[in-house]
Amino acid sequence: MNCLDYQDLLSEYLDGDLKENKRVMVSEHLKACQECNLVYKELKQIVNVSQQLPLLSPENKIWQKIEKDIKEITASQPTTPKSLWSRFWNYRLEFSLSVPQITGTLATLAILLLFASTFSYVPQNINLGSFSQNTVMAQVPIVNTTEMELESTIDRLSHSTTERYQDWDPEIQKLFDRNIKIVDKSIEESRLLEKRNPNDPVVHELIITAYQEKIRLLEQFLSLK
Amino acid sequence: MKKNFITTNNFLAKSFLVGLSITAAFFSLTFAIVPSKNYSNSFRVSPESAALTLANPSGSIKITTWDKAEIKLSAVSDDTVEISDHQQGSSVQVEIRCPKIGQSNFEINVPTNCSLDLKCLKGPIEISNAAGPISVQTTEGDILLNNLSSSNIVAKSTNGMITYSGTLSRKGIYNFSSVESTINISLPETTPFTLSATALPEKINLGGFKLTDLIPHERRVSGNHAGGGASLNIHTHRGQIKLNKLLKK
Repeated sequence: MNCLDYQDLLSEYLDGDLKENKRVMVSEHLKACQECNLVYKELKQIVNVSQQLPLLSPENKIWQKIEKDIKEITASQPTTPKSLWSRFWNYRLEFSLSVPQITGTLATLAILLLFASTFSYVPQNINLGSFSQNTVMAQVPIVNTTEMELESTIDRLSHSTTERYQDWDPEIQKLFDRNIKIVDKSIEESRLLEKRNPNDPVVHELIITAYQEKIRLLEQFLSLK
Repeated sequence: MKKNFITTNNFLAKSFLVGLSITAAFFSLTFAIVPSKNYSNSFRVSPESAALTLANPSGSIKITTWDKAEIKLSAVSDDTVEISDHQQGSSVQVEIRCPKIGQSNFEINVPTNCSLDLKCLKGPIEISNAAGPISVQTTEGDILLNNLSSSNIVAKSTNGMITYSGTLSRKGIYNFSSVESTINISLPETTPFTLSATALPEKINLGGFKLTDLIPHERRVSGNHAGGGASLNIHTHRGQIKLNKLLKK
């Protein structure tokens, strides 16, 4: 097994889902390999941070106040003979669904529609000339957890970089722009290769390595003091 | 009278212009020479557990080893750069602060087995004769690893050439990667290693090392040399990979 094989197992290793022999293998490799250990620490950090995020729940007081306000407004409106349509409309309004419940239902429906359309759509002709990262990612049939985790880390770091970019010296900005362009180009080229060879593990490794390089670059610039 | 008046005025104007030019030349010379300062410090460490961490935004890092139980740092840096250091046990950490990108050029002596974690955004890193675990990273800067005998090396650059010469230990792990640049690896010809070299097609030159158990792939050469051993992973997205045999002394 090489480093990328071990890195594929890190999520399961973190969750404690690996069998004993594999767990020992990964543990031994992490002791010996600095690079994999670094990836492991990053993953662990992501998991830790996500566990510390507060669980937000809607405040009932707010919704009660809104409902009360709506009732007051509707009560203050002049009573006119109700048409069939307005009676129907009012009936729907009196339906006791809160706004978060409606939003949740709509979001669930949207997700279901998205899944249905994704799995029923088989791309026949892929126009590589009009390549964009987002469109290709939506068409990849197998969603790899390591890739998703790396993408999420890149998003987080890119956000922090954007916030700090204006504070940098113009020379640092130029250095950053030059090199992020190089890395983004390598990600784009690897993605194109993957479209041509979707089942090639070496090509998949190229994408992972390109992502890791982008993370390394972003971290280096964020560590500037 | 009128002529005299004009002549006097011309004289004054010319004198003023000459004076202004001399002053401008003086100031431009003064500010063209960026003021620099020296930094130097030494730390007593245990040779077997010594560790050095240094991230240098701009400038060079040159590491040489010695037999002393001491890490010695010296640097010449721009006046805007602030260098601070911190020691905990045998671990030494150097921090660099600079509001503008200012250069610091480090020359450092460490014990042979010192663990090294070095980063440069813009500038080269050179390490000679070291044997401890090494992690070196540059964004734009060459990495030169000369005559090393470490069992664990990670060397990464975005846009900088990586050159390695030295031995590989049989159970060692060696990772070299550069997005844009060439990676040169020079090894004794009998070194046993398990190679995984990834690059664009026809950009991998094995330099006469004969591999067995080859796994064919358009962009990768993998196989064993001398029965396999050290894990040697080399990756470049757009550069070349060159293996060379070290000549016997």
